[in-house]
Amino acid sequence: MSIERRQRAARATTTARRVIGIVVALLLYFAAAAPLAAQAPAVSPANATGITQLRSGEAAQSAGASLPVAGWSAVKLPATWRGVNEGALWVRLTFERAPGETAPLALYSDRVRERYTLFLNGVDIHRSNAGPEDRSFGWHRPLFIALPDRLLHAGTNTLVLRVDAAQGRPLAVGRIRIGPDLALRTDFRWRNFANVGGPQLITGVMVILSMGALLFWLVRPQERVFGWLALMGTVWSFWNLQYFIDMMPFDDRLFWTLNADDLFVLTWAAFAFAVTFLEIPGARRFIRGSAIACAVAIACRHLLLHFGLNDAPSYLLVWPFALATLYLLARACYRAPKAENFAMLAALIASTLFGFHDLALLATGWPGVTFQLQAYGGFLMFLAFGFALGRRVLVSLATVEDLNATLENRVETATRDLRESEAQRRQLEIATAIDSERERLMREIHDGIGSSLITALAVAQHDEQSPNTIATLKRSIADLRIGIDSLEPINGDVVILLANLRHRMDRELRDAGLTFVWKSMDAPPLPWLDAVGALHILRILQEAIGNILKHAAATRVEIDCSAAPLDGANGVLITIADNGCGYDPASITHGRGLSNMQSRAEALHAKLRYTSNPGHGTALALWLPLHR
Amino acid sequence: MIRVAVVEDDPATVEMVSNAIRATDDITIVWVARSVRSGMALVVAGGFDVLLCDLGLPDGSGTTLIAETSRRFPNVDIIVITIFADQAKVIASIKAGARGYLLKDERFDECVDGIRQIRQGGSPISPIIARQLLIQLQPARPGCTAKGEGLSPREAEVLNLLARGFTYAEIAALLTIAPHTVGTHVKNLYRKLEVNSRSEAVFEASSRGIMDVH
Repeated sequence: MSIERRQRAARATTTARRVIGIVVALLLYFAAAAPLAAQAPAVSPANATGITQLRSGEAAQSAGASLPVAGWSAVKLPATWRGVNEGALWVRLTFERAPGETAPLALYSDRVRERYTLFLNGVDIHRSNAGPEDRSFGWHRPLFIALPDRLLHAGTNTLVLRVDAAQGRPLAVGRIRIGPDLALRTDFRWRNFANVGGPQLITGVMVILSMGALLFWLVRPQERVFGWLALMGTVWSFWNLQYFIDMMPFDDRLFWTLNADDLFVLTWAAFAFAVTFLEIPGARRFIRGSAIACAVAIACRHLLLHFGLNDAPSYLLVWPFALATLYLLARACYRAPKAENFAMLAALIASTLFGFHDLALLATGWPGVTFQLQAYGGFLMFLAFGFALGRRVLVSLATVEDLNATLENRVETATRDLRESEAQRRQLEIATAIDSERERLMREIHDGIGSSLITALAVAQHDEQSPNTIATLKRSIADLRIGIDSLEPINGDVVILLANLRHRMDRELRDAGLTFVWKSMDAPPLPWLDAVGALHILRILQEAIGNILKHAAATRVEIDCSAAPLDGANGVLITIADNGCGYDPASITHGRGLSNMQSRAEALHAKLRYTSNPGHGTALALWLPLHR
Repeated sequence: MIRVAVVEDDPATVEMVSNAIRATDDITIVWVARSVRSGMALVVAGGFDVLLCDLGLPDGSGTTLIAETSRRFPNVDIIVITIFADQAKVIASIKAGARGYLLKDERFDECVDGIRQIRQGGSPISPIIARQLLIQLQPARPGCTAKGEGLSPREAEVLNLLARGFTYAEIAALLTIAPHTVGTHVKNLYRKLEVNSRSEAVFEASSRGIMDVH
């Protein structure tokens, strides 16, 4: 419907205008703030001089509390160790300090996994935990420590890192840099935000959004897709905990188990969302089947772990879901190339790539974008899926609005139609009433008085009654005929009245030897002309023609009817002129006939004028106003 | 010899018609009926060229007889006897099949002229009826002739002049045609009105599902 399209276009225009407005406002704001920004001290630490990268050192394993004496081997950083079940891993590094250098030094590492103690020149300067009883963990945090100046000396300094983790989880030491405090602190802040603060922030947001989706689903359980979105957001939020949490109120083994199983549920929830959102036929069957497969995969993983095997093969079982989701979204994009479909597909691909990125980052020395991306991948997916849902809600809202508008239009049209048809019905009723009344009258006259008059005339003629009687009867019949003619529906057409009068009197006029000159009969209809008016006009004209027949001794009568203005008013002028003997208006007292005609003309709001000259015939002019 | 059948319940009128016709030697009355019932039996038997028919009969309307005659004998000329020739009655009669009307007036003895005229192919008309024909035969929309025949340009011209009060002779002079051609036009127009009203009735009936048209 074109109304809907117009409304949609109007909405799109409004949205575009709003976006442009916001962009312009932001640009203006930043333009105004630019001078202030320029005054801020510039910090460009990345390429600051004096930073030393510590790429190689020595490593040894020892359960003891102090530095092992033997077993050192060379190591390149960053490095990862697996299967260190007993004790801790020690990493020894050295760096040079130029003589006379006094600037404060700091140490920065992008990642130390998990718990560590740092020694500088044999002195324990930093501990990430309280000791073996401390159950805290954290594999993802960057490390920054200001090196105490009094422990540093010119020439070679020795750094030792003692690293350990519970339950033989992997250990890792990232890149280590020594350099000016300010430069490294800035690096650390960025890194800390990327690794910890960012994930914290987005996870918090995701939890709130998931709550919203969950509440919505609880209120409207039929909107299953909101339930799936809530599940996805919640599970992913839980997954993200590992990036910033360092303590759980329960056994950390349970946490890590749940965290690993999380991935299966997450893949399943994303699949369920896609199937529900895209309204795939048999969605519930698919979801139920995939739930079973997901449970089987989790069980497989636990079995493998139980037998002390690598759990990696069980992760292969999530791939069918991931690929199915990818296929469904790609097909949706192909079939309906809408923004939301592309957003979901792009988010899924990005999130998958983020996963590979993080695997490569952890398993190899490849720097990638230098920080873990997967925490953001989940948020991206959640946002894209939420966006798709929002779009759908907006579209349905718009549909409802359109529907309302359409309904209003329809009601309006129906009301108007009803009013019109009601008016028509009433007009029709009136017309029908007039018609039936007319018909009743006609029948009455026709079958009653009319028949009787005709019979009376026939009898009078048969019995050779006095000519006076016969003439009176004839006149009565003629009058009745004219009365009936005045009742005919003529829609204000004066010409028809004249024409019919001529038709009625034709034989009479011919018998009297009169030649009729019928001029161009052309006049506009008179809106006010009703049966009463028609009768007045007919009587005036009948009288006029009767006068000619009786008194004029004329041979020729001219009748004309045409549109003619009088005193600035539009009207119709009827003229009847004869070539008879005429009369002197001054010498004649107005008879009853003439005054009758005048009063009829007045009733019509018409103007009637007789002009005559002895020997030059008589002319009657009847002017009828177009409107009165 | 023109054979005339008369349906009329008023004895005076019958007498006038009989007298007028008896005075001629080219017209003869074959039968006179005084009601629809008796008229119907005679109409079915046929054997007449002209039907003079009154409308207000004691046991019904003359239009029943007119329609029956028109259906059975298309070549019979049907003339309605009327006191006032009012539009409603005349139009209804024409739709039933009448081709002319006679005014029951003081000159009723001149009805023989009307009978002869209609036999020769011409029909009388009054301006008001001409106007009605213009309205009813003019197709509502150009090109919409599905329901029947519309007016030809010449017919429309003739009707227009008739409605404006011109006589047959005047119209003939204006259009440079023979005066009796005007009467032929009128008769033809009456036929059109009858055909159209009949097809309209069929159309109405079939569109209301009363009649199945294949």
